[in-house]
Amino acid sequence: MLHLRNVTKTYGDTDRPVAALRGIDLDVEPGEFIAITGPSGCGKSTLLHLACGLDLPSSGEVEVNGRLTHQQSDDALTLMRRHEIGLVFQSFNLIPTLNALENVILPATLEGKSIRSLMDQGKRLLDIVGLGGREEHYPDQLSGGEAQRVAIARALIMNPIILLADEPTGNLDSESGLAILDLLLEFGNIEAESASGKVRRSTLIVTHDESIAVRAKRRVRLKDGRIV
Amino acid sequence: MVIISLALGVAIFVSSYESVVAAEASIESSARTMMGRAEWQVSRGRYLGIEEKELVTFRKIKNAVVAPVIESAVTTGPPNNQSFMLMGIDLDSDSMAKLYGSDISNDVSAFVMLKLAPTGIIISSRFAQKNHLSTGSKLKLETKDGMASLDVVAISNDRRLNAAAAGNIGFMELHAAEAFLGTPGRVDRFDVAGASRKQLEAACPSCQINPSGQLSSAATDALGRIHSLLGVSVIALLVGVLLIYNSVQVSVLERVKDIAIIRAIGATRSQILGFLLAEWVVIGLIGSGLGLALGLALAYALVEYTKRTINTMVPLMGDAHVHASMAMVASGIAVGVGTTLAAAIFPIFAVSKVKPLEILRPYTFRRAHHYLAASITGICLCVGGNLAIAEVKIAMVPGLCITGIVFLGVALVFPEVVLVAARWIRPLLLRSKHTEPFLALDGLVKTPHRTAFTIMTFGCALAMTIATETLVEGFKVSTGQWMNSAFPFDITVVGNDISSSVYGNQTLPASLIKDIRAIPGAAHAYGVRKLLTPVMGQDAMVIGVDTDDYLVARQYKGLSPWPPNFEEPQTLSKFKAGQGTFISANFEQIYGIHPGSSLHLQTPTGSVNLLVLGSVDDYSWQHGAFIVDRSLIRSRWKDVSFSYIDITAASGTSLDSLKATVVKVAGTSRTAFAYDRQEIREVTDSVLEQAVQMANMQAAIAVLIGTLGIVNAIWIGVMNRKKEIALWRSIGVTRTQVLRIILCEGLFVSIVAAILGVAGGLYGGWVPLRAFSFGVTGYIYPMVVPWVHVGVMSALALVLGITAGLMPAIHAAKLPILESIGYE
Repeated sequence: MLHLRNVTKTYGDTDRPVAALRGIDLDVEPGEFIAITGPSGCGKSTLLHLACGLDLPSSGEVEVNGRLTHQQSDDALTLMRRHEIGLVFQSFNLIPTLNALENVILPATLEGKSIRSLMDQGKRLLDIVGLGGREEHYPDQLSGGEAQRVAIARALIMNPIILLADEPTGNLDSESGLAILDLLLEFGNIEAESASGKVRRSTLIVTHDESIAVRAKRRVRLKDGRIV
Repeated sequence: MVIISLALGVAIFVSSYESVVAAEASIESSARTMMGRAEWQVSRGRYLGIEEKELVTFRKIKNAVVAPVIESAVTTGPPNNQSFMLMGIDLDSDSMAKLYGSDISNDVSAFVMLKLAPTGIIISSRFAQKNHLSTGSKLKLETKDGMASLDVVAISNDRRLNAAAAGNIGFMELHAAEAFLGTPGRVDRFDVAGASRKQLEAACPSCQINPSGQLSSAATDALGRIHSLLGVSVIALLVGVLLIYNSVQVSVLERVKDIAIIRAIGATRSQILGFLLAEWVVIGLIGSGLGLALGLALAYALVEYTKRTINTMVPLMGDAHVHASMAMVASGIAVGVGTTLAAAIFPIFAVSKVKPLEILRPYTFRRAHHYLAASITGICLCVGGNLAIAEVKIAMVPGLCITGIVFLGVALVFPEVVLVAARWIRPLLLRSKHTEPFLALDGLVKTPHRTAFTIMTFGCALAMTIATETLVEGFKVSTGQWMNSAFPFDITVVGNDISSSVYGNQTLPASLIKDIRAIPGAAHAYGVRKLLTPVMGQDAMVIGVDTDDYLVARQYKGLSPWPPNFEEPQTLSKFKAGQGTFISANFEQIYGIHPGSSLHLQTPTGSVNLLVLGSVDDYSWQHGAFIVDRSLIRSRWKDVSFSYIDITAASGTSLDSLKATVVKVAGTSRTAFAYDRQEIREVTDSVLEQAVQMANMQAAIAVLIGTLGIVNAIWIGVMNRKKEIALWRSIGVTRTQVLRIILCEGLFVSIVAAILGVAGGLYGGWVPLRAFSFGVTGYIYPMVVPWVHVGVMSALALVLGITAGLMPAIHAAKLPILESIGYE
């Protein structure tokens, strides 16, 4: 489903390159829940960005659902993120002027789908993440934990086959963090629709919090851009 | 962009200001040159002149120096047809030397030549040079009886003479000038020095005594029009104020977190205020400096335009010089910096008052709050302004102030309007098949004040053009209706080329009408004489018509009576007997004289009372006109000539061949021009368009400022939403979709601005401009919606809106996602 082969990512100019990732090989199979851990600056977020096509590797290959990201156009990568990948950010990244429901259904509206069915779907998702009745609330009327639930609902609206979460509990207190983790675990390995039929969703969660990481079925530890 | 907009605003103001100053200085200098040391001008009234024999009475006043003067604006012959100021001077006394003391008065040989040659003239060296004339040359000038030649007996190098009236000036001996102009025994005025008003009044109780150097009505009107440009520049500057306000607000909001941090670590509110104000003063200074330079360049063009406008009427304006005077620099900087500070002060104060903690908290500043207090204030200002317009008879300056108040009121209400409108439109857009319009609206609603002011800026600029066009269209339609109902002619013959100057006062000889009537194909012809005459201290126009011939021509054309009650027997008999008159609607308004009342007039042969028989829409003269039977002009003004002769063609006659024959017949004795109705229409339209040309240019600059405002607002919107745009991209919004979203923002702004512009423009054409358009144009005319212009401007607004959004849209589409998503 997601494969990284000998992936290297280097930043900076040619005189003084900074290697964020060095020779990473990682295979994520359907239904896997993987925690990427490691200290700050070890390349966790870079790995996630490469996995969703927000960035391209300096060398090596990233294959998402059978397609090599460096061979895709910008639009193809964008559509890949829209259809196949759900993204959850540390700082939620909700649009402050859209209410919770509008934030959730936003990726689906880009498809030109019927707004009525999307509204129903969005409401169901908000119910599932525990925010039933809060559809009309705006991000500044939600707590950090609630905002992150909305972000998770948004990541799930397109029923993606891969869920990528970058420090999803980083901005939350421990209780809210655990609740969010439960949600990710719950939705992280359910069946999703892909072009080749139904597959189990894979989840990659980047965290430096060991208490979160221990709950993942598989842990990948990074240090200085290498898997250790 | 702020600096460019500010510079444009200042440039408009400075150029208008400087051209007014330069034009006034030039006219005054011309007038000073003409008046010499004279303190008073004495006559029976403007255009009435005074009998030369009265000179004896005035010269009896002890120590008084009295010089009789003829000052007549005539036209040189073709091909140039220039306005020329012909002066008649007294060589029988030393009054001229005493009053004017120029080089000419010392040139004895020239004076002797003038005295000896009844057709001799002294011209300025500048005029001589321009027209390749030398001593002994013939100078052709138009007179009542046709073209006549004068002999150039001397050429004067007098510096002041060359500067006055652009050098188009010449002197004849007084009696020779009287004979040449056909006013024997009558001069235009006496110039007097060394006497008090009391002494002069005692010498001639029925005379009008005016201080020397007073501007003629033509010059006053031209200056009035130039002054009105200052008004337009103030509106353009108001548009600039909104743009600056918008930019300051955005600039402050962009740095709101920095400001909060500085406040949190100990900066006082006044320190924050201080550095923000200093920053905008510097921006104001830079913009003003650029605006001054640009304004000076524009002023050169404007002064030339002013000179052309004024000198087509009477050669009053000499060389006008644009100077970067201290007053101009100071006023330009004051306007630029003042505007910047006026616009900047509110957002700066607002941000300095916010508690640091509130700003540092996430989202606090993101979602728009309501603008209730501002809206209530705005509504009050709008209502108050409109009531003032409705209730009070407004002059131009208060009219502009009230327009400014209404403008401010709308600006205050508009952010709330944006919020309310967005609340209604949002669900509709969300339900549409495409998300782009919804996200575009969401982007605009994030900062309602910015969106509102951007719309206001652009909308007001559009409104300016529509308001001007509304007035022009109103004038065109009403003058068209007037032409159709009042004039039964197919061809009109005039003594001057009206395509170069509609203000020419050349006349046609009385004998011409017989020759014209004899032309095959000319069914009917009637003559008209127009003269300016004083009414209540102003220059009104008396129009004398050959009534019987006019009625026959109307009957031939099958036209209904004009004025409507004209052909009622009692009315007609009073009119034909020279006892009644019809007044124009603007005459009625200006002088407060209504049908049924009596019009008291001073004529060259004494006073006369006319019964006002009716009021009609007539656009002959901005200071009001009244129509009489031409016999009254003959008897009272002792004037038998025609201003124009209207010809009705016999059915089946080719107008072109008739016109050619008319020109041939009329042109044997003098220069004559013939025009058909269509040509007259075209000429009046082009004169009108020329009159609003400068206003249109200023409005175009305002539209440019407004467009820059959209670019500015959308660009800053993109910069402020980098993170959000990157988020869109990360969740699947393609570059093309980003491009469309931002272009939609430009489109939305321009759609609302176009609606506001059309509404504001029609309002501007109807209420406030209408209130002072009478003061500026002198006419009352109905409101006509210029649909074509409205359509063109609306389409242009949409194109400009999309174009304005293009650069920011491309920038937004190309934003690097990862960098931008980490942007704070």
